[in-house]
Amino acid sequence: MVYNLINEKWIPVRRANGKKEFIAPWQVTDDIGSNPIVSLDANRPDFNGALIQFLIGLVQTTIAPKKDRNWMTRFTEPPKVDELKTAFEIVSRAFNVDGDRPRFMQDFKPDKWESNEIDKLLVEIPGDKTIKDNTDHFVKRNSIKRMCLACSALALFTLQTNAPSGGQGHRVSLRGGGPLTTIILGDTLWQTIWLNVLNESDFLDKYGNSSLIDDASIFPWMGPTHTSEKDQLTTPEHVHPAHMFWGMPRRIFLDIKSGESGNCDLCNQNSSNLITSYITKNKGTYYGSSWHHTLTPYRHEKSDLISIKGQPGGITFRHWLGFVQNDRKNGNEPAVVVHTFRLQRQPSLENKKTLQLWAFGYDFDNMKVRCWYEGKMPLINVEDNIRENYESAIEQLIRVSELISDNVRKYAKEAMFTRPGDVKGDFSFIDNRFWNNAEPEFYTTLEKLRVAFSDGTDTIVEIKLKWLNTLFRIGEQLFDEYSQSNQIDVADPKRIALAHRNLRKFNQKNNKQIMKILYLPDKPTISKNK
Amino acid sequence: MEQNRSLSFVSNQYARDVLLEWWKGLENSRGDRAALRRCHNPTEVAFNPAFHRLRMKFKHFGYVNPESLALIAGILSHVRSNNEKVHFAEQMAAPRSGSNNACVSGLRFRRLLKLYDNELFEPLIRIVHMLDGTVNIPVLANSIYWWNVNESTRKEWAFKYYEKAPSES
Ligand SMILES: [Zn+2]
Repeated sequence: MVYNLINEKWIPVRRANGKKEFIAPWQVTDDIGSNPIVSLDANRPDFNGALIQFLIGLVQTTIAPKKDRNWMTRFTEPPKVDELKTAFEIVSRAFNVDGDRPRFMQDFKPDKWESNEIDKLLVEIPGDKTIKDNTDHFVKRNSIKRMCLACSALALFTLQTNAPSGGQGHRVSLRGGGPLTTIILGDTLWQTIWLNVLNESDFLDKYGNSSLIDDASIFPWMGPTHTSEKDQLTTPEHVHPAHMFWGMPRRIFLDIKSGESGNCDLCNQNSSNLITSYITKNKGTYYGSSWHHTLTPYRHEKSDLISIKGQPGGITFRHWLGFVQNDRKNGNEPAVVVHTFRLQRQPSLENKKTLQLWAFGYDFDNMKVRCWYEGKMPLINVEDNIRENYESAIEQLIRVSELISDNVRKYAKEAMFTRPGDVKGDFSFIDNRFWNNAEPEFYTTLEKLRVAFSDGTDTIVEIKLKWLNTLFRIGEQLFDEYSQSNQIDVADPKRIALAHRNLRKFNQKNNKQIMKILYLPDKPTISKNK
Repeated sequence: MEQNRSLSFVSNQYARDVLLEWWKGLENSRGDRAALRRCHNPTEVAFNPAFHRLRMKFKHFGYVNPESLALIAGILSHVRSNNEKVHFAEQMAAPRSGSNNACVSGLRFRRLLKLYDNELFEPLIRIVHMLDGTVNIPVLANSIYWWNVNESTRKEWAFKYYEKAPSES
């Protein structure tokens, strides 16, 4: 029996009542009336991130809505399990993990290539060089020797979707190494999938060559690999738009013959077909930078689009600009699906409620993974008539936070070291604390702003000043903590006091830079609150 | 015990007034003042009748730490005039007339910050003299009273001092 990702029950999910189970992809709407499936439930966060993209890609590829109206119908009345099954079966031939070629996400014509142990499919498993240098401190070597077919397929999909630079012609993912992904979260798994699927015509028109409808133009493993011995590029013009969900930069083939039986080292399920190795070759598909993936925010640089990558410091409201609304200053724009949702879909949703945006990605330091980051932020419904003012006020709040965060780091450093300019190292932990501490108040402030704009009240300046005070307070606390000014008798009191003086000098309501960012009137009308 | 956490000679008007009234009273009982000035440590202060009067006045405040109060009394007996316009640390940082250097040098100031409250008696009296007997009484008293409890007193002193005298080394 061939292991097929459409037919097998391999996707770990959780239902509304908390029960965990494994389903086939077409079962996502199973029992949606009384005990719906609400979320994915893999034992690794990066696998959840890959699984949701697998499902969104599958739905976008097979049953995307024709128009807005169809989208709304399916949102309120999800398709039945049978209907999904029929739709997905049409492409099931592309989802065999083992058996005869072609196989899911594996090279069409494997040869006598270099063999790797199966754990190298996991992005955090250090390469040979790292092991040799003995720098693999945060991953246990040799803990994963055998993986079941489901885990192998998922690891393979995760790698192909996020591939970092692998050195020596091992290509990066279609969105570059370690792209950041943003997903709109609904109340059920079906809603989460459907919220991130574009209307068919929009999708087919803009993101590739929709006249290429053969299997291999959508699922690259269904035909000979577009290789890149001479760095030849594969661009959206060469393939179907749906290819973006199925990109395959690495030439890999699972070594099924090595199969054994026992428990999978990743999911602990019993399997009679555990995989211990795979073969691989460099110079696979080279995607270049002309792609625009619908689930990823991008930055405009001249005429290029650069995908946003996972970044140190995690995901907080500092990324609001660029993840939720346009960041005009830096040319960052949210993922296409986020735009579509906020401008077209959210206003027509019943009760227009706030949904969450789930952002995640690896932070790669070149070939090495440093961390997996994820975070959530609200997608607040905004009336059209206040949108521009509201969003520009939000932008001001964030810009001023950036400024103050920079200063807090700068002066805390000045307090800690005699020659702060000479001190190397990453002090972004101070920024991270700053943004995390300010986050709850930020969302409260957004809501106050929205109400103020909606009601047309005259409290905008007041709200901004209150936000400023919050930032000053948080900055002061962090300064104290990091400058150790609570042990001023042991630290250098002069250095700390002078750094503090500089911080204070900067963190003033009448600081010109701050006033300019916040558009504050020359003489703040409310200066009584201290 | 809880209520004495709120004892402040700066923000509590009543405590401030009681203290200043007692200090002014020393003017009219020169003998007491001379006796206080001759004390070498807070324990000696504690046996002085003038200190006893001060203690009685603070009975309404619940528990008031007698050692700290004795320290305050002994030091204040050397103060000649009260100037509340500037912070005590700024008074230390202010340049001596005809000079660019602070009244209390940076070196001495930093040594002061390293002391425990039971070591403050003589150094602070010396500083009061260096300031020609003119200090901010409520701030000085409050700083002494809360010296060891948390670091905020020393921090405030350092911030004020170097705000005023950034080049003092
Ligand atoms: Zn497994």
